[in-house]
Amino acid sequence: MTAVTDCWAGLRRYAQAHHLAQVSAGYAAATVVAVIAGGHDFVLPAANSRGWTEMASTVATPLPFAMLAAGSLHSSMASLEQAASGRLARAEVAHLAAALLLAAALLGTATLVTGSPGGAAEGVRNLLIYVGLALISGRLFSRSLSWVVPVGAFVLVDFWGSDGVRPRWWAWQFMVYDSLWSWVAAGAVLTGGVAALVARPAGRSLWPPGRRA
Amino acid sequence: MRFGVFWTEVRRSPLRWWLPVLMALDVAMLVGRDTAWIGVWPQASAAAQLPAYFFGLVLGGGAAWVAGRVHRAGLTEQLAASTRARWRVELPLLASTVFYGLAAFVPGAVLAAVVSTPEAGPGFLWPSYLALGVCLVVLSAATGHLAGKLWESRFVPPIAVAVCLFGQTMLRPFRFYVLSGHPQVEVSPAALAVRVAFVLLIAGFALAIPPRAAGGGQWARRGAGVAGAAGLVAVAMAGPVQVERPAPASALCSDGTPQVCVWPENRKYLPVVSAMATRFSSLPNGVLTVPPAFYEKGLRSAAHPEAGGDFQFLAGELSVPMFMASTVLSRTLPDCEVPGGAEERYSQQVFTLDAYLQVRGLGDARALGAGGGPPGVDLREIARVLGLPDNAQAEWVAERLAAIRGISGDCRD
Repeated sequence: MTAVTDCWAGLRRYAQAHHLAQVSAGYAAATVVAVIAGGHDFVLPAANSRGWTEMASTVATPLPFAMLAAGSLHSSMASLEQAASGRLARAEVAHLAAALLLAAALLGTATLVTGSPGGAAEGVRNLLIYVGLALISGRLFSRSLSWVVPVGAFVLVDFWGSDGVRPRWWAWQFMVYDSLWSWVAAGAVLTGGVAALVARPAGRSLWPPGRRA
Repeated sequence: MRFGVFWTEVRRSPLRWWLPVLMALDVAMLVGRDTAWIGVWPQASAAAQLPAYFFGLVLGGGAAWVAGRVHRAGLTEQLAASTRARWRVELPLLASTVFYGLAAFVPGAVLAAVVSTPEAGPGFLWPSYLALGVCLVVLSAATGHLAGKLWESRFVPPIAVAVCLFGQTMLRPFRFYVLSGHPQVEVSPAALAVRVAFVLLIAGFALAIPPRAAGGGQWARRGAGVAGAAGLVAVAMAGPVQVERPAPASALCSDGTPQVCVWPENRKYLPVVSAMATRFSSLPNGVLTVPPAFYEKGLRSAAHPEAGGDFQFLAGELSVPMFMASTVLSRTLPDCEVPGGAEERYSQQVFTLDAYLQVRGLGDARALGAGGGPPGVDLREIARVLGLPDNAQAEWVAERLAAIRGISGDCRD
């Protein structure tokens, strides 16, 4: 009985240090946006001959989820956690898995409500891509700046990702849900992100070197 | 002295690492796309304005990150206790963020002007489009700054990015950017004036409103919330960003026959379009009925019976033969009742002739676009015919016309 109480207390303290309330509110808002955007296409500036491209909103709707999921790995107790054991590292991976699953469930359901099953699958695949990039960004620039690389990727893919008819080979977010290559790439990006998360020393940024925040 | 503080902020801003990236992005977005905008002033202005949308995303997050440094360093309360007016402390910080946004935006505008000057003739970049871009840069920076200051959360910068992205993309009435600048449209002065006022309002809030963690200031924040909402309503009420322009008093027309008339801003296209018109009229024996003049869209009153077919520059001059070919075809083959069961044969013949005319008009097969032309058209046959002398081509066209009239009857009378 004590062990169970301890476990819950530990979870509660962990969640508190990792901005549980803010992430919940953010997920709720991102879900609302995904429901509203689900049935629409976005018209955004692009490099093709028309100067704009019409894209499925699922290129953009996973972005907030990914930035929140990866950003929630930032801890208010970051400086204390520098002395943590391997248990914390395992807890972080479990945390990421839970945040990712919840985001995928919310985004998939939200897109299904107003969009299509294929759109929902594309949204989830793009979520995997953005989360992988966000984890890499967190390792590069510190966890508070997890949003930088996903935003950069969105800008590049949106503007140069399509020749006006077909997506370029690297614009996985534009590909239809049954493109195997885009799923393989998404898996690879996510794997790279998880590797960046667990690589030792945990949590240190590469630029500026060694910042932990 | 104040300038010294501003300069210190500029040197310390984390955005300094992003300036080269943003400048490269700006230039790449201008030249790394279809360059039909070069040489048409309003199009060049709209193209120079376009990267502001992407800068908005980066600056929204960047400004929130910059403004949040007070919280991250644990100095929120010390700053609230300062004897200096808050706006005097915040101004250099916000100004440094805006400085980086504009420093990335201006080279693109200069480049657009420099490459357009040789072809575009009299005139210059339209200030209204550039003002729109500057508005979006300042609005994103001010919104991010305000959010980063109000809330301590680490999630404020990504939320600022998301607000800039979805706010500008999904809420069309609040849009601060345009995708292109055809000479037929211009920035609505009312919409621009309201947007400038709104940006100044938000920038004022970003400077003057105290953060929540500093205590006090609830009424200032509530008042700002109400005023901001009212400002958004005003932006939406001001109407769309672009409105139709009245036709110019005198269009720019060629001397040849058939005559070709374009908007004065599109002067660079006049020689190439008049060459297209000549290629239509140069088929011998009068097999085609070519109108005495081709007009660009918007030059004639929309009430004119043929105004619906007036040509447009959709992606440079490539789209023009399509419009001209349909105008010529509709003059040559008035609408006829096609007997039931023959529609497919009829449209295949018409499509073939149409594709031939488009390719002849432009002078090469790019006229048919990446899709390779209408369905069921034999492009090799068209290429073969275009290799023949004009007399033989006229004969081929006459055969096609005879075949079409054989299907649908000749209703020229």
